[in-house]
Amino acid sequence: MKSLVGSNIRELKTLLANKSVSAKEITKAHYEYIEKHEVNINAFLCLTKELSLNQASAIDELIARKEPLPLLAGIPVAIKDNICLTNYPTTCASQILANYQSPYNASVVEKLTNDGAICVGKTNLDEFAMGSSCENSSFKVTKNPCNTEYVPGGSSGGSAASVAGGFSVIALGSDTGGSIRLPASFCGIVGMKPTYGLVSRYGLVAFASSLDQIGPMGRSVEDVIFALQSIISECAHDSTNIKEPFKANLDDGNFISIPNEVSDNKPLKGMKIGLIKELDNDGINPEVRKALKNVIKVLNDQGAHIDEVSIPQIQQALPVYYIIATAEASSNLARFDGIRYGYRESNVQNLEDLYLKSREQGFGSEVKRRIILGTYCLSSGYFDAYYKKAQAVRRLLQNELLTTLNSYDVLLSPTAPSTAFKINEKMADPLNMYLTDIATIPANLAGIPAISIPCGLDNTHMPIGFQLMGKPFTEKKLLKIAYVFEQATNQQFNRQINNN
Amino acid sequence: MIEIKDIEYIAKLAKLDLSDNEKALYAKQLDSIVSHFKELSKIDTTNCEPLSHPLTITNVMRADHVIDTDTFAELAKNIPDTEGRFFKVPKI
Repeated sequence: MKSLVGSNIRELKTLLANKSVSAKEITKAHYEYIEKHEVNINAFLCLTKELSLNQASAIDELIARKEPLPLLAGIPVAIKDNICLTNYPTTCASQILANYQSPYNASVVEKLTNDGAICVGKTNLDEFAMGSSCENSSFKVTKNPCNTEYVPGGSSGGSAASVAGGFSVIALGSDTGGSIRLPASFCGIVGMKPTYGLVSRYGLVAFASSLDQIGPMGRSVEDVIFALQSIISECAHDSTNIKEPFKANLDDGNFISIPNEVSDNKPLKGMKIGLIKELDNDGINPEVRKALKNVIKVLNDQGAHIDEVSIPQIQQALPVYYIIATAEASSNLARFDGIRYGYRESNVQNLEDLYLKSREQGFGSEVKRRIILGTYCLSSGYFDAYYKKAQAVRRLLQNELLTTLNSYDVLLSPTAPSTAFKINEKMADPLNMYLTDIATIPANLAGIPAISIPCGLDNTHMPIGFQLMGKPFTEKKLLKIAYVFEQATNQQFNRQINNN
Repeated sequence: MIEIKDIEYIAKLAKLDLSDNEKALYAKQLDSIVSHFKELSKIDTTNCEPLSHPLTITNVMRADHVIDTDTFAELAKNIPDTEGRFFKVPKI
């Protein structure tokens, strides 16, 4: 029998259904693997073994009673540590929340749990999801399972490493400017940022509320399909959660059926794909561009028609993003005042002193840098020149993307300008680090769905990923193209677990 | 040019008690980051409504039913200092 660690959801579901293994055996196999290899990777901030064994027992009872099994029964999942899990820490990798225990579950956690998923642990991230390398965690630096000298990407680096390293089958991340797609690309896995509002943000610690979105990560497109199917739901606790999301696109919202809906011959016939000119130029690593050329060839062979398109405002996306994201962050992080929860400095003179010192001690360097930057952009005298101007250019960018997507089914680009960089390589230069997000930021600014799919390795054997973006609520189209690419390339670029 | 006194003013607004080293570092880094932001002034945004939210959002109302949300006992576990059902803070 194939090892349980490294198996995909379809395989594990079959094994459970025909009683070849129990949910407890799947869980234990993953924990044994974690206990052996986590020391080299640092994917987790907290393991939830007791919870997971209880969840596995509940699944085994369902099996014993011959009851129908829910969608993700027995599937190990890792949760980014900015998503609340009842009675476990939710630290956001920050000292200010080091001792915080969630009094409630995030809506996505409720959904996964109701669907029978097994929660193995909470994963490391850049503090408050602010970073592109996972090095801004105040607890540990997560390493890339493909080569531990390299960063896994960020901010959902722990979730990506958990999936790529074989510690869980799938993981949840959050994506404000690429925090799911970038680490997915760096670790050789699939990661999706859904349309803004498709997945509830209730229980996700807010970074930049108009950009944040929770999404799934997996080693194959189909695993991501299963995870996304589970976490979509209407949520009364999130006023930005969209009701009847697929209605306008006449999409049935059934993603699980994608593998059956793909035809054998030229499955992408009739699809029009736009290759974004501004993200295929000298600023992109030559090996990434070479891999992208191959993607174009594969998609073409599968029947798609590909043209070069221009989205000029993408060149402004980076300043627009770093103004809006930091402005919203400075406002969202005002709630950490040392009064109601979180770290409180004890040696203080008065209330004002308590705020100042608790926040100074509790927040790390990158978080403070972004609070300062955001406060600056919102301050009197600069508001119109920076914040309001950025919002206007955001509108122009969204218009350009949506107009182009009226003529094209999806837009194609690399996920990142380069492959993973070495640990410590970019830490001293925040601006250079911010440039890593150039291809992923536009989808957040426009609120549209985007997915990163593995498409090759560079000469140091580090993974390369490409990105597809679509109109709001066209997740099914993106997943279908991703699935076709993966099948056509025989999954050769996806991360495989070599579990010895 | 962003100077240390600018950072001190912003830090006061943001309620951060920055060290002298941090003030110097952030002044230098912000100056370089903000100079990139100035690129935006070249873009013509005449008649362009600022976009504050990616999708059209509407006001969401729930049914007017009383729900018991008194979860103080659970929330209290995370409160640094309490007295009875109150948050305790130093003198203002």
